[in-house]
Amino acid sequence: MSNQDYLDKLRDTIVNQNINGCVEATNEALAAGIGAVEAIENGLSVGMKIVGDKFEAAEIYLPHIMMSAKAMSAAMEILSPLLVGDENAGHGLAITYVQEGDIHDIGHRLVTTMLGANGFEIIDLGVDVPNEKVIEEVIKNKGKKMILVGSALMTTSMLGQKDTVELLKEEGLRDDIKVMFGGAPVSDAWIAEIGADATAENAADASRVALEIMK
Amino acid sequence: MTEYTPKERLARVLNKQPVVRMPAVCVTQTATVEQLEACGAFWPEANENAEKMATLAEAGHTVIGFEAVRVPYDITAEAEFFGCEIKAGTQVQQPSVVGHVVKNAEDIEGLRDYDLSKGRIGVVCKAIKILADKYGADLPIMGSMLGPFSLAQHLNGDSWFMAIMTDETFGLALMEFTTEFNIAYAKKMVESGADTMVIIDPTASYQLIGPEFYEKFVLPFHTRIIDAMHELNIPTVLHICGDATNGLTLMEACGVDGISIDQNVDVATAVAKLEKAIVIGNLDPANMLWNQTPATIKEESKNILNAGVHLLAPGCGIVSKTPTENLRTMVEMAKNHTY
Repeated sequence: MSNQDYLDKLRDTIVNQNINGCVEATNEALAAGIGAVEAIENGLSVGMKIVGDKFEAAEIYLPHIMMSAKAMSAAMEILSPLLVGDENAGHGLAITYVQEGDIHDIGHRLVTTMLGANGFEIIDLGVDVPNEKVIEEVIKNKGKKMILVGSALMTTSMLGQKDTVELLKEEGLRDDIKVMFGGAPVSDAWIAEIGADATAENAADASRVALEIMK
Repeated sequence: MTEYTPKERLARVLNKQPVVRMPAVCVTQTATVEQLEACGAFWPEANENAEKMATLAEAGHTVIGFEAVRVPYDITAEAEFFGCEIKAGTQVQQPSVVGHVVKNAEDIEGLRDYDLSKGRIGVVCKAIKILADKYGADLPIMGSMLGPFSLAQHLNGDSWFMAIMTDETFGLALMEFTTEFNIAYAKKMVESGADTMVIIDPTASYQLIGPEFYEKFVLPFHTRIIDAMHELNIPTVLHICGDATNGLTLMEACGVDGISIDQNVDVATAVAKLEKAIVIGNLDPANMLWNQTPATIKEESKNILNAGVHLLAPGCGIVSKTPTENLRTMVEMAKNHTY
């Protein structure tokens, strides 16, 4: 098998939601001498990109995309330890979280997975995260190239996004970080009103937008 | 010209019988901070105490002018009833489900023995009784419950979306269980005095799960709930969030009388697509009702009315901080509209 064959196999196990097959293909690729960055960028991520496109085109749905994400995570468990110290792989640090009062984490997890798949270093703060904790994390990582990726699935929790941006401003951190919000109630008008940088339609679109504003 | 009571008027609209003017109702959650303050029944108590729950529902009618009363204000009572861990709500925030109790088919067996008079399920029914005793002759008494697919997701957690793909037997067993509960609960609400049933099933979104899973895991179960309600002559409304445009035909196949759409659905398209169900919606709760002025809301309401909506209403639950005057504007626009 050529290196491309191994990479294609990685891609296909992601697209076909083959979790065990993906682990197997990852180990095979490593055994064949393919590096972790190569396996992620030219194999797994290519697969996730296809999955994202198919989701956008309504050819597949959430159950499929979650299975693909699970396959991706299984592969990343093997590959992540090999990435330590490899700084050149990334587009920056993405701090992802779900707004306080909200525990809807499906979209959040998909976005986090997609960003990771697209080469962002990830700090996942989880769900129901108070703004103070978000700010703390931003301060901790000051100096890095950063993007904040928050989601809110309920109109009620979306209110907190406005405070997030205001707190960043108060702390003098707003220029240090790009801010992106998503979730069903979030619109372009809302993003403009609260002074955030961008939103996206779905997880696939989120990684595209994130790459764009981090350029 | 016959002058109908609000109760008769809404029932006629849901049954597609002629009336002169539009009833002003909200099928999704109605409470706001201003109503809480006006009536003295505050969250979170108004989610847990039947008298306070009823008082707050009444405020929707007396303060805002809705021609109906409706309970409850959140969608966690069902999961809480079965023992899911709940993060408590606050004065401005509804409670949310944070823990799950069903991992496999065996866990379902452990939940079968339940008593509908217990927990917040019992509280909602008591609140309905209070409201029906006071207003039942004139106003529609709306009971609302979380639908079976979303309840299954609350019970099982996010792995539910993978379960319907990888373990059909378990998925269908859990749907059977939640549907039986929904039917029993809805009947109990009707016994208590509810005359209109709202099913909120946000997770059963066509946009999220697509036609195949919807046909297998949602449609037959919604059909059973609607059939049980129709046997009792109770009209039903189904609310599902998101851009449901491509799923509307499948959604109404369960026989539901009204479909509540959110602001992502084009009203004219929905009206054209739906053959039997009426269209309810779809003022954006955040970007319109909460954050705009009465003048803008009036304009947008006109657009929605001109597109042929059957009931002008919010596209989803009202945001707790929405100003009363904005909601009154929507109510007036509905009341002044003749069909």
